[in-house]
Amino acid sequence: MLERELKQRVLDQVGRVVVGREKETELLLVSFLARGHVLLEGVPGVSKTILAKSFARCMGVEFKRIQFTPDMLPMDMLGGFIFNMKDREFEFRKGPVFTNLLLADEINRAPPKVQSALLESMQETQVTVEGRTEPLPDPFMVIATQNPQEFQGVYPLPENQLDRFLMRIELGYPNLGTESAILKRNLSDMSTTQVEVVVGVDELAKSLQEVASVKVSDEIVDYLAVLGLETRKEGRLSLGASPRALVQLTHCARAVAFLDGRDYVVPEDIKEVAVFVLGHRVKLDQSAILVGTATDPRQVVRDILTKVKPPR
Amino acid sequence: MTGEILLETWLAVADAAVLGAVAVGYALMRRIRPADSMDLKEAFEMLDRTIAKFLPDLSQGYTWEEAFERMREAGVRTDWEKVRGRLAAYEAYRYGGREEPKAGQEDVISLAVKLGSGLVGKGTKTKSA
Repeated sequence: MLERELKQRVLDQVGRVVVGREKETELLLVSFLARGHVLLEGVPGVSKTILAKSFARCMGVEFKRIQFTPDMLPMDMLGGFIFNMKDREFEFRKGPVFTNLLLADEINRAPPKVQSALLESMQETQVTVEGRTEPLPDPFMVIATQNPQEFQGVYPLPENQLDRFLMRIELGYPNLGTESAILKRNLSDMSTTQVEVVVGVDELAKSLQEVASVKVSDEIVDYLAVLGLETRKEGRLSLGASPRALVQLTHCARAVAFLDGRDYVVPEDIKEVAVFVLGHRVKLDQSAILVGTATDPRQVVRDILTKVKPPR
Repeated sequence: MTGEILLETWLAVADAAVLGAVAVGYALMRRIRPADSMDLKEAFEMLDRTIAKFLPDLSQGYTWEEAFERMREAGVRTDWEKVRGRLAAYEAYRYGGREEPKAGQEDVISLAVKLGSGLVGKGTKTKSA
């Protein structure tokens, strides 16, 4: 099973630097293969950046990082026209967004115009500056990070921007055993440079192609549709899952099936990633929050998953 | 004369008893289907029904893997690798368009019979699955 080997290789390499983040690494790989973008959420110091850097390194793709700040302009990210004195004409200079894997660090620190400039890149995999459209490299993935505890000097991502992210992955504090392992690992001076490239360019291109051809049967499609409907009927939610959310969930389930060595999706694949794909796309109803029937949209998604009978 | 009437009555009762026993036997045979007359889909449907009784607190949205995990926790002993292999073949047929598996249903049926026999304790948990 080459696909399972691929997953193991990535987990092993990232695990050389990042301790106790196997699930998160697997989700990053699933998103990459599903051609989606990821929002990593967590307080400072829980290995969000190092996880993204190690993942990019072992995938062998071009990686760039942008530290988002409140004074940033869209041009800082996309690039712009610079006057070339020699040729006496304006030429387009590509910004850091022109890469395979972009780490948008602390995305909620940038003003909305910069955040929205990322929209086209994430959705269309292209950049338009002053009427000129430039395609982005293929594959293209954005891993954005944000600290949910910050309230000052930040611009929370609006729903339409959140919807662009295939998954939102929350990184909590490590448990006691993992914490000790992290401390020991840091004593031995590990760095991301020790992560080896384990996925070849050809293998990556082939894997992306194969994921796109994983079969999704009618029964599975019906199950997805019922899940979507239930999120819209759910009283504790004021906003249910959009059709785009369900399409993205399908892509994710395909990637999960591929990594498990199958060329068809089973209900298990959907349940494995549904909370990460739908959790940030649904919105809690204010009355549900006030009366205390719901505090976390992801729990509502979990409840729906336990309620809806999958094909068996 | 009276003896002949008694004999005929006795024979009629005996005939009715024999015919009744045959009818009951046939009905029971139809109710308990032999394993080889079920296909894998029917075997998994039978297992699904038995799981609902064995693990009454298991949520409706369970997947096979979740049910297997709960059964293992409840101490159900079977060749899980074999059962998983049958499930993989069944899912490949059902969702992957592969050829319908012609064998292997007996492993699934035996698990269902084991759960339904009451020989293993109920898998009910205090917290919901």
